[in-house]
Amino acid sequence: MWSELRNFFWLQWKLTRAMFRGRRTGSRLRILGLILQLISFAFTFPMFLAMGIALAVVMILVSPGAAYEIATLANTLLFFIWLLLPASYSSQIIERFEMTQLFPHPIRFGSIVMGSTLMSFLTITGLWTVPIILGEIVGLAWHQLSALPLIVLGAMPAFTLLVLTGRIMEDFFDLVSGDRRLRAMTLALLSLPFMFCWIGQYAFQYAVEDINRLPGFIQEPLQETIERLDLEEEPESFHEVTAIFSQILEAVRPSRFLIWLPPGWAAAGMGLAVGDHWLRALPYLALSLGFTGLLLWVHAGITRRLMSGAALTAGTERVRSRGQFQHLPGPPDLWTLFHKDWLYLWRSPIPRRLLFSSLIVVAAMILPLRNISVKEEEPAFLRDVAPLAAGGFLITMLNMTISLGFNANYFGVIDREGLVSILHTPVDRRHILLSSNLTTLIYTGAQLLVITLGLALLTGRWALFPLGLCLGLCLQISGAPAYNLAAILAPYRAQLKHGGGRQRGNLWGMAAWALSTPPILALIVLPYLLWKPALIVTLPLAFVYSVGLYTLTLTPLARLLQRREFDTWQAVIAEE
Amino acid sequence: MSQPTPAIQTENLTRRFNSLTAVDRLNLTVPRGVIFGFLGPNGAGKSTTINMLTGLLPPSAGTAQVSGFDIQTASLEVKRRTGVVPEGLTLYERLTASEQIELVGRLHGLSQEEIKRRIPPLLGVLELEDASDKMILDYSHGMRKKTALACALVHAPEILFLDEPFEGIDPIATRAIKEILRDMVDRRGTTIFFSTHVMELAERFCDQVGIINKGQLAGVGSIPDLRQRAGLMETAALEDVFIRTVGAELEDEALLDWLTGHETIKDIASAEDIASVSDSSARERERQV
Repeated sequence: MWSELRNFFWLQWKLTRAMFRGRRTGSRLRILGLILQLISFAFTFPMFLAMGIALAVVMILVSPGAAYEIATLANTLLFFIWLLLPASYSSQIIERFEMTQLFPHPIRFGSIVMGSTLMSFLTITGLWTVPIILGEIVGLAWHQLSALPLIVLGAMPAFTLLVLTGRIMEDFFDLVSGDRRLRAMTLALLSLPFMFCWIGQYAFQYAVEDINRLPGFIQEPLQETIERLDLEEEPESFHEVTAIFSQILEAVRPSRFLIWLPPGWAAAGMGLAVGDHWLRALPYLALSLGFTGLLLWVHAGITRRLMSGAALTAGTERVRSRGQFQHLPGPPDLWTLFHKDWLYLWRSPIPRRLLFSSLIVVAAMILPLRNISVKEEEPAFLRDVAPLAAGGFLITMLNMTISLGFNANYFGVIDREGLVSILHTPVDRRHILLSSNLTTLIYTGAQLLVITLGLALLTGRWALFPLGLCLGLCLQISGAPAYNLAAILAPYRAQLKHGGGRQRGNLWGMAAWALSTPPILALIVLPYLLWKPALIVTLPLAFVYSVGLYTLTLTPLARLLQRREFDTWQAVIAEE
Repeated sequence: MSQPTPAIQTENLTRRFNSLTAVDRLNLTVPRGVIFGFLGPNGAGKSTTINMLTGLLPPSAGTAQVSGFDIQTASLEVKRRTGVVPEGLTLYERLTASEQIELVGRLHGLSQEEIKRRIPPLLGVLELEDASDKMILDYSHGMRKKTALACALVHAPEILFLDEPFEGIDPIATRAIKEILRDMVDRRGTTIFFSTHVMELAERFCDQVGIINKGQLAGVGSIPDLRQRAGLMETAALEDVFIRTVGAELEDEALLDWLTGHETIKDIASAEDIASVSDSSARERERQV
């Protein structure tokens, strides 16, 4: 088994090194990609290191009981990150250790199970988790050094539990990868907890404005603590602040609820010894170890199932053609291409996932907007500006989400292999771009309509409805040339398995977005803020600018597409 | 009477990818109304040539005309007259075969009525009717290849470029396709330019062949011509002509002795040695049991 494990380490090392190698040697973009990856590495690891240190410092400053509560919260947060990250593209910075690719080789089953688990420690998520866990250990041990062995002992299953959670999620994706509907549903469902957390935060904010709105089990201890602390007076020293923070944490005691979750067991196994509850810590340590063993058993079970070729597969799906646009006025080949794009909007999981993500952004952003707009005590100017600022931000965010994921990589998201079948035809290249832009405009337009209506409803400012709609549409139209340029020059194959996410940053898309957005913001947002009557002139001007820019650039971009047909096609069919 | 323009004519056609010259000064003339087999080892430059001739990839140097149109200055005219089955499976996976064929037909300017008339027999002959309402995503490799072929045929092109067209297609469909292609050549004067690794197929199916090796044209002509030039007998197979033309004899077979089994015999000096090896193997097996 050791020699096999040694081979796995060798493989993981090769995959990690491959991260810094361009797929196409000699590519000019390779250097840029490498720099971006190095920057991403150079920034993120110190950031997590800083987070670990900050966690340790906070835990040292608070009381032992509060430190235990913080450890429980940190463990739970880590657990959810590990649970959800395999569904996100950001976990793929280091190439995935594809367990299923090892099955045809003469490797023992046990080695595959152990190897895949061990290699999960060496992923980016694994490396990022280490400083946090170390921070917890230091923070807890500071209060009672004699408990250090038990804390370290508890940290080991805690870390393994996290890694195995992520591993099982990966297994699950392998298992359902043959079933498109189940896979899409899982990806969608996994996005929900983030939204709940975000909305929950505002619900909490809403509740704490009036403590009576809180449920009794939180309200009573909190009320009691607030009364005891006499929070009417400002704390005088830093020590007082940390003392109040400790008392609030101990009063609310989130561990009461989190102890029912596996990360809570792990935290209890690590942290209870600090409060001299050695005997209470041991059963939780055992529970945490047992659960880790259970996860390993589940991982082995799924691996065995995958090895026997029993991955879940969906039966073939019969589809019916929808939408007939051929009879519309204009060039018939434009409508033919549009029909193809329209079918893809319904059938491809990537647009659906993007639609879902953008709706999440909307749902998440509307609540803070409501909080701003209803407060009567806010200054009049802020009440006037805030809805527009928040709405503008919302529309810009939506524009960015759709544009980076969709517009700036249209051929890599929608066309992929199929692109060459239209490139082999004598179709006017302008119509290829026009069709894709029209599709995204309709796709975004529908969402804009919902957002701007919601915005107007929530704030009661109906002027925001046409204004927001104009802003969104102008951003889309004026941005289209830049996105088309990005789609032609830097396309990439969107990974369907993980919902179309990007493994590397879409630098070109970002640059395109940054270039195309300011003029429109200047023509619509500035006049609204400074002198509203100017909108009579600037609003049509924004449309003229957007449509004019689009019309002027369409032909040169179509020529560029024709010149780069082969490169564009090669880029969208290449596996990352 | 003036000679008709050749279907394909290239002059010093070259394509470089950084330091690699994939196609090197290719001079080729393919007359109209023939089946032209383009043969070569892996990485010889077959697909790059097809990509250039179909107007997808601009050449680094040289010129080429397809159906009398320059591939660089009139690439859309070239595309109007050609049908292509490219290497790989290059289809819209989330369309059905009918939708994909319809898309290509429309982009070639066919009317709705004409497309509706052409699709059913194409699906029929390629045995794709049952799958016509399933997404291509759910098709097998062979079915995808057939769909790509149907797309290349739907607008009845003057010249067909087929890159490994029969790969993964069952023998029944292969025969049907070959018959259609032969009829297209004989009755309509269509030119078929196709690349393959299958020498038997090329031998039986092609009127002319061109052999490309390391980006350079190593030989072109009818199969008897090539046999003669390679100094082989009339009965020699195309495979032998090919190997002789590209000079691909295995240089040192001894390097693979460990695989072919020669090493075992060579290294064991005597029958006693063989016996002792057999004994030790038997003991090892017993020990393992």
